Amino acid sequence: MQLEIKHATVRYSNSDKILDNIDLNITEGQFLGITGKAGCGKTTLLETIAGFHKPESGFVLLDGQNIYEKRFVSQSFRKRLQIVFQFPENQFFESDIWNEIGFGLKNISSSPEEKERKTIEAMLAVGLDINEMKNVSPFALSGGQKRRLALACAIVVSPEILLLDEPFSGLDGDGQNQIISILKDLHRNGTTILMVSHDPNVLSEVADKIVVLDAGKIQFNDIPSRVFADKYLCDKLGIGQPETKITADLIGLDLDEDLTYSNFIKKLEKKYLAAHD
Amino acid sequence: MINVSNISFTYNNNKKIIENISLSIEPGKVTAILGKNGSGKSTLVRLILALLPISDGKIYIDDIDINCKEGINQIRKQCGIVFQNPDNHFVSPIIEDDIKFGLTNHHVPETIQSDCVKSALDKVSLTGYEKRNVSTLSGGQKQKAAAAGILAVDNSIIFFDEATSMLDPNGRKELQLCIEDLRNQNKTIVIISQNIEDVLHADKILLISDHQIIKSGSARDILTDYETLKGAGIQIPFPVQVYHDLFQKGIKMKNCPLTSGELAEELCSLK
Amino acid sequence: MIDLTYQTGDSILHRMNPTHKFLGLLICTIIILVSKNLAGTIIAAVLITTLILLSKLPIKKVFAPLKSLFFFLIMIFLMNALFFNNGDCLYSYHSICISYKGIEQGYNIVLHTIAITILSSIFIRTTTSIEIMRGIENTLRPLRIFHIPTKDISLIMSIALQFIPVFFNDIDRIRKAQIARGANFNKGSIITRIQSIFPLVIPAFISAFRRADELSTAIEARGFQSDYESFK
Repeated sequence: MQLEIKHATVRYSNSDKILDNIDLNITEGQFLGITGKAGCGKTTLLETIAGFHKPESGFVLLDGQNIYEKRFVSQSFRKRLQIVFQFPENQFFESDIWNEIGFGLKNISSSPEEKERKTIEAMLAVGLDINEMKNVSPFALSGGQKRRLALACAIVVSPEILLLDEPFSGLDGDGQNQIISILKDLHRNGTTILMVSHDPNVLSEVADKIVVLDAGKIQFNDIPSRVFADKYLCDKLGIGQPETKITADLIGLDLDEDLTYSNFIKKLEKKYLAAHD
Repeated sequence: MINVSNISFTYNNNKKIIENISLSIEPGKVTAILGKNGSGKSTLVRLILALLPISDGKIYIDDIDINCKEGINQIRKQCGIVFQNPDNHFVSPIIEDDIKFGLTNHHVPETIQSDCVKSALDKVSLTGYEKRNVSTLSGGQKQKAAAAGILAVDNSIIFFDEATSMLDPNGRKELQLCIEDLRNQNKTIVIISQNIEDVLHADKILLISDHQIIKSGSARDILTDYETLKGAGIQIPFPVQVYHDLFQKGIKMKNCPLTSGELAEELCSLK
Repeated sequence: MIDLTYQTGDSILHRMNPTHKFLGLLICTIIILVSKNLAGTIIAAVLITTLILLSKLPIKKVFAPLKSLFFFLIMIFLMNALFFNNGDCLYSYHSICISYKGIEQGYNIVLHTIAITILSSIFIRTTTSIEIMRGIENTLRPLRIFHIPTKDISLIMSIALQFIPVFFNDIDRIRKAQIARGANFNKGSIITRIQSIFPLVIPAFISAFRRADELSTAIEARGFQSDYESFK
C-alpha cells in the first residue's frame, strides 16, 4: 500500500489556499499524527486524502493511481480508506446498532453470513457487547459508546487506511482511554492510521510520526520527540508540548527520544531509585 | 447567594439523575461542579436556573424559593448561562442584535441599549464586534459573545456549562482568560465541566458521581485525591498520576503536586 | 454564504429603506393582483420595467427564477384553458371544455405569477436578509393591536437567518460522512434515490431538533417573554 500526496494545493472557491503545495508519503502500517493550530488546514488535509476536495494542482495517489481521476471517487477506494469525522455521532440514522454498522457494508458484495461476521467483529473490536447491544438504538447510547459505534461503522469494511479527525472531542477520561486502546489495537494489526489531534499528550503516546501544519504548509514531518523538542517553536506553531516533555525539561531528564508516559516513569524510576541505592 | 437543599430529579422513565443534592453557591467566588458525562451536573444546573421543574427538594436564591414567580424572576435577573454548543445560543446573525435581544427581555430602555452592548463587548475583549456576523466568529469568540450577552444585562452569577468542551485549545485558553477577567470584576462564577483544566483555579470544587456530591473542597483537596477522582471517572491530572505511580514504585514525594512546576520542584527535592 | 441571493449594488432600490421597500412590494403585489387581461399586462410590464431600471440589475438574473417555474406555468394555463367549465364551452369533449373564460383565467393566473415572481426576485436581490427581516418586522408591528404575535414572528425569522449557515454546515458534514460510508446520492432509479435520502435527512432533522431544543433553553434562560404567553 502506497499513499502519496504530491504537490497538492487545495483552495475553496474564491478564497486563499487552504493547503499549499503539500508533499506527503504515508508508509503502510504507519500511525501518523496531524496537528497544528486552528485554521492551519488539518481537517482539509484529511478530507483531501479521503477524496472530498480535488486539489487545484497536484495529486493524491493510492498505489500510484490518482484517486480524483474520474468524476466520483471510486467505491473500491472507499473500501480501502475510511474516515471518521469530528463528532461522528451526527451521522447516525438507523433504528438499531446492528443496521447502523451494516450500512457501511451495503456496497460490499459479500454473502449475508460474511456481512454478519464482519458486523460482529466490528462490535467486538470497539467493545460493544453483541448480545446486549444488537437491538439498541444508536441514540440511546452514552457519549463514549456513540463514539465507539461510529468507529465500528468505519472499521466494519476492514479498511487498510483509517483517517480520524479529533476522535477525542467531548469525551471524558474513560471515553478517551477506550478510543486510544482501540486505535492501538488497529495499529498493531497493521491498519495505517492518520489522526488529526490537538492534544500533544495523546500524539506522543501513539504516533510514529507527526506532521505539523501551519497556514497550509507542512512545517514538520518527524518523530514526536523531534517535533516537540523546542518549546519556543511549539508555541509559535500553536501545538503545545506533552506533559512528559515539559516536566523532563524542567528537571533536566533525558527521555531518549521516547516521550511516552511509560518511558517517562521508567526514566524517573531509574534516576531516583538509583540515587537511593 | 444560591442555596440548594436536598434536590432530587428523576426523568419520566424512572431514570434517576440526581439524588438528594445540597450545595451553596457563594457570591464573588468561582465554584466548580466536576463530574463525568452523565453524572447529572447539567441537570443540576438546569434545575438551579429554573429551566427544569423542581418536584423534590428546594432551591433558594437570596432566601427566595425559586419555585414561584418571584423566585424565577430573581433567577432570570441574576443568573446567566453559557452553554456547550457555541452555535445554539444566538437568536440573530448580528452580535449587536443578539445582545439587544437579552436587553429587551430585561426591559432595558432602547435608548441606552447600544451603550450596554458596547460596554459588554469591551468586557470580553470583543471591542468593535457589534456589527459582525456570528458565523464569522471562531468557537472561542462565539462563547465570549454569549458571555457578553449575559454581562450586558448585568447578571451577577454566570454559569459555564461545559462551555469549553467544543473548543480547540486556543478557544479554551481564550475563554479561560475571559472567565478570569470576570472573576476580577467580582462576578460569581459557576463552572460545570468534566475537564480538570477548567477547574484548576476554582475556589471550591464539588465532585459529582453516581447522582450525588461525593466530595467538596478546594481545588487542591479534590484534584490530588487520586482514589476519589478515579472512582468518579475523572481523568487524573498528570502531576498527580506521576505522584501516584512513583509512590507505587517506592518513590515518595513530599507533597502531591498539582502543576508541572510543583511536580518539577518535588522531583528535584527528591535527591 | 449568508446572503445567497443578494446582489451587491448601489441603485436607488438597494439604498431604499427596507420597510418602505417591503411595503412597496406589498402594494405592487396588490396592484398586480387586481389588474387583469390587457390592462393588467400593461400595468405589470410598466411596473416591472421601471423597477428593473431602478435596480440596475442584470435582466438575466431577474428572470432566472422563471426558468424553474416554466413547466408549472404551462400546466396551470392548460388546466384552466382546457378544463374550466361554467357552461360556455366553445368546444367540448368529455371533461375537456375550451372557453374564453377558461383561457382568460389561465392567462391571468400565469400573468400574476410571473409578475409577482419577478417583483420578489428584484426585492430579494436588492435587499440583504437582515434588511428583509427588519422590513417585515416593522411592517407587521402595527398588527400588535390585534394581538398578533409579531415579536415572536420576527424572532423566528431572525433565528432562521442565524441558523442558515449552521444548517448548511451540518448537512455538508453529514453528507460527507455518509458518502465516506459508501452512500451514493447520484446513482440509481428513483426509488433507490429516494431511499438513499434517509441517511442524509434523518441525521439532519435530528441535528436541527437538537439545536432547536438547546436554543429554546438558552432563550428561556435569557428571560424571553413570548407574545403568545402575554397575549393569551
